[in-house]
Amino acid sequence: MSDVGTGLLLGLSVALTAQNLFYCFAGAVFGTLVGVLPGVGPVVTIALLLPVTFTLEPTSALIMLSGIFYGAQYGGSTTSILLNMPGETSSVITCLDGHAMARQGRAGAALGISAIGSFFAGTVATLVVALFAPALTRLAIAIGPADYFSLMTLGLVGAVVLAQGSLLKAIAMVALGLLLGLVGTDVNSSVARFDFGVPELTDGLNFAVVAMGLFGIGEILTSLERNVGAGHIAAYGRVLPSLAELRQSAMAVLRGTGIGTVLGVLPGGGPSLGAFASYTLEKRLSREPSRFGRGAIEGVAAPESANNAAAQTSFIPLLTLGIPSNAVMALMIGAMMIHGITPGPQVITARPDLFWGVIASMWVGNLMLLLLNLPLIGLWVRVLRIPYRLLYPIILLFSCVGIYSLSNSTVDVALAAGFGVLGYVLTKLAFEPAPLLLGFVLGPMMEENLRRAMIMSRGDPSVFVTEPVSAGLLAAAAILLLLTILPTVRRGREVAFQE
Amino acid sequence: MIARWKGDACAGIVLALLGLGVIAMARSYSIGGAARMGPGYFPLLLGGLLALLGALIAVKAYLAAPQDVIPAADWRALAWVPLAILLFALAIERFGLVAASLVLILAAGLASRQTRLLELPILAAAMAVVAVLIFAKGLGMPLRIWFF
Amino acid sequence: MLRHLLGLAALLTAALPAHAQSYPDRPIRIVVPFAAGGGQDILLRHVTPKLSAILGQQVIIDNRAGASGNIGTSLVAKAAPDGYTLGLGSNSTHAANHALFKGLDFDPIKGFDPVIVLAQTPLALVVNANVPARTVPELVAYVKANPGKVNYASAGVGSPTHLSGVLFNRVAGTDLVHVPFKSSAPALVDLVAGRVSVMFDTFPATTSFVKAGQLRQLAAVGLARSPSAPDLPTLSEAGFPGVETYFWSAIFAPAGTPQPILDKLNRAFNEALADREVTTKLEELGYVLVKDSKPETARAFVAAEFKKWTELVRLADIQPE
Repeated sequence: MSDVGTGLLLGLSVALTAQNLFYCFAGAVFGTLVGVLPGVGPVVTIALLLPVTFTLEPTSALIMLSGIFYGAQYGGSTTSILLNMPGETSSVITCLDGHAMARQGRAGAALGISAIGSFFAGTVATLVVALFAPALTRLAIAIGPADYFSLMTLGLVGAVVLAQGSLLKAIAMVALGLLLGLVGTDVNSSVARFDFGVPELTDGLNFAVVAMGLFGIGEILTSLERNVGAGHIAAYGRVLPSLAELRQSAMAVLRGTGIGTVLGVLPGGGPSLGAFASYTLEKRLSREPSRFGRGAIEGVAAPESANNAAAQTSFIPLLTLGIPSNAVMALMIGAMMIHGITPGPQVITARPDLFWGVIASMWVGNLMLLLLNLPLIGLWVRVLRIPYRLLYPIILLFSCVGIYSLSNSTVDVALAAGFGVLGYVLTKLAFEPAPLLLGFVLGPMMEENLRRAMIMSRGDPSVFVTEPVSAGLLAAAAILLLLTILPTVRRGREVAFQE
Repeated sequence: MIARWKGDACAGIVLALLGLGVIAMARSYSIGGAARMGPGYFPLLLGGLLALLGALIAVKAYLAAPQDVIPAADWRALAWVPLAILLFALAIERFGLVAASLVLILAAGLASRQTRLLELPILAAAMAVVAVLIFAKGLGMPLRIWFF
Repeated sequence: MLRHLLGLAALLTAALPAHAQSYPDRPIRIVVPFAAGGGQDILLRHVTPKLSAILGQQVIIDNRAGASGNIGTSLVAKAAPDGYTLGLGSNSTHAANHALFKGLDFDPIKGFDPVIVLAQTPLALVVNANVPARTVPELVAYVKANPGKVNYASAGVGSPTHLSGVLFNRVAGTDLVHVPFKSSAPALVDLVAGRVSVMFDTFPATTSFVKAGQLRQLAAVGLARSPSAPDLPTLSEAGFPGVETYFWSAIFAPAGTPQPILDKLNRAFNEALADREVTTKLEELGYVLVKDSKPETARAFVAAEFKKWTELVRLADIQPE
């Protein structure tokens, strides 16, 4: 405990130097500004800025890059809420109720709860990182392929739960998403599947392309059809959530923080899985689940807290093992190596200033983001006052440049147009794109871990029930599925009897 | 405008056909066994699942026959928005960011009935400048700006 | 039309010698066909600032990741052979990929003029610390005592980490079971956790886990001992010769680049690599730099590597797709 105390003090002494405060602030501001550009996410931003950090001291460089990371995440939530444009996997769920709230003129409340929830979650998660990083590292290592497969299964059941309408349609969307996730080179055989001879497809479909197409461009097509007029959104209310709304979200923030903190530790899909899981939980616990997807503030508070908590704890494998849990963390490793630091388990002892400095700056960065974002809400909300006939071409332009910049690929831009039309058609036919996107994210990990688990067990499927964690997760998935299906089946029967 | 049940039935049939297509393609990859699944194993399962679900959706649409209708599509938006994006994709590497921005905004503007024809070129020119300033200058992305 | 093009080509060729003298008179672009921040990218990023100073022109890194490096490499093959577009190549883009993928639109040998081989990064044979083996013969005995039970992880099908295992199984007569991962990082998690027992991975990636007592290095894979672990025997010294796999990085120009430009670039790269600061930093990170590589030796090296990896892929029985 006293170790942690000394560590945190050391960290604060590093993070609070004028120089590092500046880089933390610069990173947060820059990340936020870039994050609100649809399509330009933290990965692109950090890749672009790597050369800039070359000249900085390693600790300052990491602090700035972390600032960009959270900043971009905040910015990504902003576009999700305002424009239905998820720039990142973890902010897809925010679109569902966040954008619904924006359409009702409650964008300010949605943005406010997102900032407050994120700050609370960030603070808790930073403490968790400081106190329990080594213990949570053991968790990250202990989770094997069978457990991952079962976790993905639970996630997919969750995807069905978060659907609004027909269960059958939701399951079909999950299956379609899983299939889209298979496009690209298979990890286990290096065979390129469903690439139709297009070299760009051998790396698979880019998440941002699919998400911005289905949600963002699809939304534009739907809005144009509804012929939304000047001012797009008639009136916008208060800039901050009301006291009643805050009370409504309090438990959601707490639960989201808890879920996000734990799931963020797992390499692969931490923040997004956290956001999905916490949303599903809120919907299940709610007395009126039908409010979800129609502007329920808990539906913004929970996933936003979860993804920010997970964003913090996803640093754990990086800092304690040198193992990146996502593309952003991989770039951070690159940044460390450029500065001659070999990431690995001995970074804590060899460079305590760096380890604790980065942890302390996480909290400082989150505080800066809160102070930065609350005043910005008024500005962001004003974006919605731009007449729609001017707004949508601008959104399209920013999205296209953003998508192109992901990997300098015109194929990606063309694909986004295709997914836009698909998103429109799906919405029109009352198929929901959210379960599809979840299937798309979880599918490749699910297949990879299924096959790995089966190789390791030499083809014996019983590993999924003999491994305790995996068995527990599968049981949870089964219960959740039953709870979801039974009421519909019963209702279906009642309807049938009435006829 | 078409009846909801017809839309659902069509969607179900399309999904089922898609599932069958996936099965056909997956069979060209090696399937493998449980201990070492080939690249075709998982797609084969999923293709089967999708085909089944598609068929169920179609059958259910036919049996339940929901009475409401799907509103007519806005063909104007549906044509111009994707076209504008494709034109951008074609232009960005060949003619640079300025030309690509202009063509995107001009074409996209035609998608809305509210667009004012005098306003559109001004918006296009202004946004081309903004795009250059933000992406090429501000973010330093390696983009071609002009067509020469 | 064709005549015009030919005429233009002739004109350009005639203009080239004069061009070579003033070369470079504008920034040089080096296409890295891998993501920014990866091992290959970092190597080059340590060299380019010095290189820019030597050449008197800015050297820009252009990351064109995708399709195992094939997208960026194809871009370089199609670029004008004027010395202003170069590419970073590796054992994947210029050796193994041709055997792994069908229908690549570039020829890794005829399509390029090698400029220099920058580095060869050896692999280590590592095991989880709980594996009861302190030497390679002990490991072989352990695997043979547990037939079909011991796993080895790789950072991807067809990568040196995978094919080293294929070769090792053949040389040592073992039956290590291959468990492929997407990249080295997740594979190391399972190795540290003990779900897989053996892996062939680079020294920089594994050394910190060895220091933390979680993994144990048994041998260096490759021609010579690693400078980062001089006490560790090579596999040949341990009695299992014939596994010579390593990562390498080289700079390529499109085929047809004038010899004076290639020579000038080669000298500049060698000078940058010889810089004490660059050398120290790169060696700290575990890269083994190649001393005094010339365009001719680089060409012979790449040709030999191409042959080696093609055979290895065939040996591993991977079907090209």
